[in-house]
Amino acid sequence: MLKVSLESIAPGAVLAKPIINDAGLVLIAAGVEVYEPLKRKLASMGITEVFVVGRRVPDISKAEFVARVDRSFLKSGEDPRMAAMKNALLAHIEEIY
Amino acid sequence: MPLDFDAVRAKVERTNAIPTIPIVIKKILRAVENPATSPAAVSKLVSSDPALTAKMLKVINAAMYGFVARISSVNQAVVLLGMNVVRALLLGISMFEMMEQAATGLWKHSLGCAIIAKLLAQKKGIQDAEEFSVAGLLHDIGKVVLSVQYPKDYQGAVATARERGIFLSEAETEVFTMNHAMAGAYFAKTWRLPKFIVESIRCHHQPYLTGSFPLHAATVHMADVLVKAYDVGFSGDPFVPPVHSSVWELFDFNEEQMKELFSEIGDMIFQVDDFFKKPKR
Repeated sequence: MLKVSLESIAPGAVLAKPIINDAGLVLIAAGVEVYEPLKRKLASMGITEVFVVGRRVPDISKAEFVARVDRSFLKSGEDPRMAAMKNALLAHIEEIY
Repeated sequence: MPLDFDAVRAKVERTNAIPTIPIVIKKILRAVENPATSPAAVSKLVSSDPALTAKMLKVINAAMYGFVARISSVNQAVVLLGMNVVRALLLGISMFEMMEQAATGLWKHSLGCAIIAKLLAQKKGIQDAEEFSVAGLLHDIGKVVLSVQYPKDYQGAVATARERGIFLSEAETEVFTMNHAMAGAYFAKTWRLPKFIVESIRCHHQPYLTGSFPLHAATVHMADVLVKAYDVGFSGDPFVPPVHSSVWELFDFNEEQMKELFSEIGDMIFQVDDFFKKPKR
């Protein structure tokens, strides 16, 4: 999920969170694709930022992220469940880059 | 030569004597302790400081509502969270403010922990998980208190942990004869913060110690480990501590579920960095 400004939203981007009003009422559901007309409607409602489906790559490189994980798990890697946590994190890192 | 336990404790408990705690905070804390003070009066007091108001609303919305601006006034925060929680937040924010730039890494770590604690609580079926965010946000307040009261000694403890490759808690105990969890609990108790906050602070490294708030302590413990694993901000700890076995019983995640969890964390956590970026213009 990504938070983007309404201006920078790419055509066809999918809302990851619904648009709700102050009373908590859903105005536009999650999963809706955003094109120009909807963009104008959102702008007229005073909305400047929305959450869309997508992923952002961390600021650091993959190698650096992996090295940090290796280093920080030095003291808990022996514990089988912590080893599983580390493996899960490494698999996640593999996926996001 | 370690510092004397009683001396450290006294100094941690005497934070109300720190001249840099804003007067408005002291006024608010005093007002809230008086049961006759109405929520409206507290709102008015807080709102009299626009910078503090803006900061508080920003922190609440980030930590509790995934950066969606859901709470827009102090009054709304007081009604939703209760006066005691608002009071704890104000105290926490003003303590972090005192450390200024030096605390940015710890702020990020704390905000990340708050977000993950709420996520974990929701996974346990808890709908109103705001308490868990607050506990996550304030769990390391002892580090701030020790840094404010003993700036040089605290930096020394962080350096020792890094150089000797030991956990920060161990390095702290060598210097202060107590770790940040204990220092934070003394501090929170002195300011009469809600019990669930005191216990989450005191037991976030040893969740089995709490009698009264096992779920809070366990959730903050797990969130603290996960945020360290994902390497968000800087906690001062060079290593990810192991999750205590009692907490694994509560959060019985297998490897696949943990991967899914990291993916959910990854979706939210980059916003912690954005939170601290100065707005453009």
